[in-house]
Amino acid sequence: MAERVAVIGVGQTPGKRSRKDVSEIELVNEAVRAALEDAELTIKDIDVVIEGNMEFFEGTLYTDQWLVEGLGSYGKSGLKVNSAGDTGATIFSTGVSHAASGLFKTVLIVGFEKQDEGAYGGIGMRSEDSFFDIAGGSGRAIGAMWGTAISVLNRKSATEELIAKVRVKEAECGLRNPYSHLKLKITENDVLNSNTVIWPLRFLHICPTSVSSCAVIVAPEKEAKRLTRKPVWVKDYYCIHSGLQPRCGEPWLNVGAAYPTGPQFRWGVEQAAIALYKRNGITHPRKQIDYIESYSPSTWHEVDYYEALKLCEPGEAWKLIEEEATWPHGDIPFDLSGGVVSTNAIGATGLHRVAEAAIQIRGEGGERQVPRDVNLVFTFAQGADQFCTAAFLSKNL
Amino acid sequence: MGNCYDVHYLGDRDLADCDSLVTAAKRAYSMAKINDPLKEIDLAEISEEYSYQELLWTEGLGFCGRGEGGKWMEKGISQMSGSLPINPSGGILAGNPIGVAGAARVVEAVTQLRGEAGARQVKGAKTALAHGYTGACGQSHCVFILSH
Repeated sequence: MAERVAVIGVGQTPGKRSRKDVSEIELVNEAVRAALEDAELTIKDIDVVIEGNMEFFEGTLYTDQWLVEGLGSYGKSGLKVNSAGDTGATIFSTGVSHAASGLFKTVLIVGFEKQDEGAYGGIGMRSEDSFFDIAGGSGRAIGAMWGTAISVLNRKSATEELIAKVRVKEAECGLRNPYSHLKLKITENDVLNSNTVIWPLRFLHICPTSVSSCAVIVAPEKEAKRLTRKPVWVKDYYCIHSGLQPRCGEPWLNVGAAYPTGPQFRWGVEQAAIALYKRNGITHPRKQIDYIESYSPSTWHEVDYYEALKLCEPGEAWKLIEEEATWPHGDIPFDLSGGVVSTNAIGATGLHRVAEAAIQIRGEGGERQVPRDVNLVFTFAQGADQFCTAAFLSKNL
Repeated sequence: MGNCYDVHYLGDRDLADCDSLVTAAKRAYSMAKINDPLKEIDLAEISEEYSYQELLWTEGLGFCGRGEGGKWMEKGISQMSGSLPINPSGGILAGNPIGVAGAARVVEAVTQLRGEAGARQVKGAKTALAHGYTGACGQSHCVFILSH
């Protein structure tokens, strides 16, 4: 990066199923005001506003323009980015690039989704490609989740019982996060007995449909040091995009078969981790990384990512679960926010990961705080099979 | 380069003004050290989905004063034979594949600066302006200055 960049403010709204009390403008404004307050700035101090959400999930487009009053971007520079589930992380990397360019002093990054408006279900669950996707039996989100689930099971990385154990951990973490949408008190039996969506994928494995907004303010080194006493440094970040899954290295006729032979859904995450580990001297991620905040839209994803992020050997995620290594008291705590299965306001989701990573490094996680020093956090998001953005955030430069 | 957002709702502003274009242009001129755009820019590729926008954007870009776009155009300055030809490509009115319309303005400016524009070449073009906007009434604008 031309300039080193720090996160100097974060703001989140509590996740909900519905927010009939606010418009979309008011929703994003809540997050913007929270981030400004956290950074002890006013909107006048902001140079650029980067915004993102899912195109048409609220039945609208040009959201960067018609939310101008909520975003505070009137008279300012800015742009909108959309990369499906990865949007929140992509706008973060876009904002960091702006700060690193040396052209801007303060960058406000805002993601949101107001899924109590619009026909999100029809968009989210339908096949993207009317021939190729249906040919493989894969609907959009559910099909992709099933692919990861069947792959984890076929690789013998975890049993359904161990997945239930992880799901209870996620639910308990969600209960400790005031911004979490779901507040579930569930047992492993509840998970194992919840309705089958597509076996082995069950209802309780899947993320909810949430309303939330998240805002993050970043600044280049000199400005960050001037503006805040608690900067969280963006040590490195990496964007990697591949083709839509069925066309990514496997013949389309094998859409269904492709998953058991190796999930490409996680391909980008794995590649991003390999690249970032190499650039940052990470040879033993489980030892060197203090915390991971992931984009796991189902419990199966979380377990799949244990292996993609090299926290264990391939096929040995079950060991991590049995040791409870990714639990708050474990040696590599994972998604203590409750994760995406507790709150998924899509355009905000990737940015919530960054906000939670920064909160953990600042030691301000309250009941969900990692119970030891957090110096280095790995965080990532991914979207629509092919987008992935990952980042290392650190306490020190 | 420079860009800027205006308010979205049309009732919140005077539609005969384009404050966000004025600001975006100022940011671009400042970065490119352009003091007198009319003299220093050799051609402009601007985005206009309606003919009247060319007059309004001409004012916003500072080629003439506010409310003077029509009179300025009558002087012939923006014709191919004038000192600041506007849209030698034919502009968006000649073709509008929306997602690439702004980038196409930049491509045309580069083509002109390379002297590769054939029959539509502006002779001796050294500095070019490319402009794009979004929102039916220009709610956000983006201005690029290119030079060789």
